[in-house]
This record gives sequence, structure tokens and C-alpha cells, in this order.
Amino acid sequence: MGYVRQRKVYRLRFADEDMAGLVVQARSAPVGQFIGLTKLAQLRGNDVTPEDMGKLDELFRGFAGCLESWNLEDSDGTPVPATLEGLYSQETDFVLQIIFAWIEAVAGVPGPLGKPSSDGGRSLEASMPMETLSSNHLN
Amino acid sequence: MLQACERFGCLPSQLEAEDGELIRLLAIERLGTPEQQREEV
Repeated sequence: MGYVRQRKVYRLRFADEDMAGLVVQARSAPVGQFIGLTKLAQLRGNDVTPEDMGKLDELFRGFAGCLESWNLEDSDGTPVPATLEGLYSQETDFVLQIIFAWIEAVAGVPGPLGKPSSDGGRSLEASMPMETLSSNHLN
Repeated sequence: MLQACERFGCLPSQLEAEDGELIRLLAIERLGTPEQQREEV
């Protein structure tokens, strides 16, 4: 029986007031896929044009494949599934914030929002992989 | 990418299959490398 290496799981926590309490767990991605997603993440939520929607969809799909879990709930307390559908049920800027934090956590380099911005900063906490989970730890 | 392939002696396809964390390790090494010794990646 072969051995399948488990990819690291990053736990992202956000100290921003708007996202305080949100915890996202997402796996890393292979270098090739990760670089592709990083390029796609050059999009800014406010700058998305109709032509960019395809890229945004690709970015969301790529990240959805790495998203393990989160504690996100709707306003009525219903858990939002950690799936592509769950991502699409949220505001674009919100999802991009999570994706940028994930990119920073995996690669240790600032995502596009690391540039000066007037719409608030991100948590340094989100840039730190809090722990690596293995199947042993989950049991 | 190609420089990394030369460095690790592997094909781009093999490098692309490595975990994305490799990018972080390369970035950390770059931070500890004097600027005049850096090669553009």
C-alpha cells in the first residue's frame, strides 16, 4: 500500500474587527497550482471587471479545493459550508481577504493586500501557520 | 522556476508538484542572502 503525504493544514485567524473570531483551516497547494492562484489573486475586489470573472472563478475554485473547514455562519446561525458554493455565497472582498491571508500563510510573502491600503489592514496573526495537523492529531 | 530546477536537479513538473511551502523556504533563504549574491528567480 502506497504512502500519500498529507499536505500541511494552516489555521488562519483574523484579528481585524470585521473578521474577529473567524477561523479558517486550509491545506497548502502544490507549487504549480499555488503560483497560478497567486497570479490570479492579483485581482482586487474593487477592480474586478466582467472580463476578470473567469479568473475570479478559477481562483475561488482553486482555493475551495484547499479549504478544509471554517466556523463561518450565516446571520441566522446556519453554518456556511466550506465549499465552492459556500465561498460564492459570501461577498467577494471577504473571500479575497481569506485567500490573501492563506497565500501569505503558505508562502510567507505578503499577498496583494500587503500593499498600503485605506480599507484597513490584515492581522499579522493570519500570516502565521498556527499548527500543522496530521491525522494522528485529529484522532 | 528554472533556476530552482537547476538547483534541485529536477524537472519543472516535479518542482510544481512540490508543496507550496517551498516558496516560503526560498523566500526565507533569500532574506538571509546578501543582495549582491542574489540571483533573480
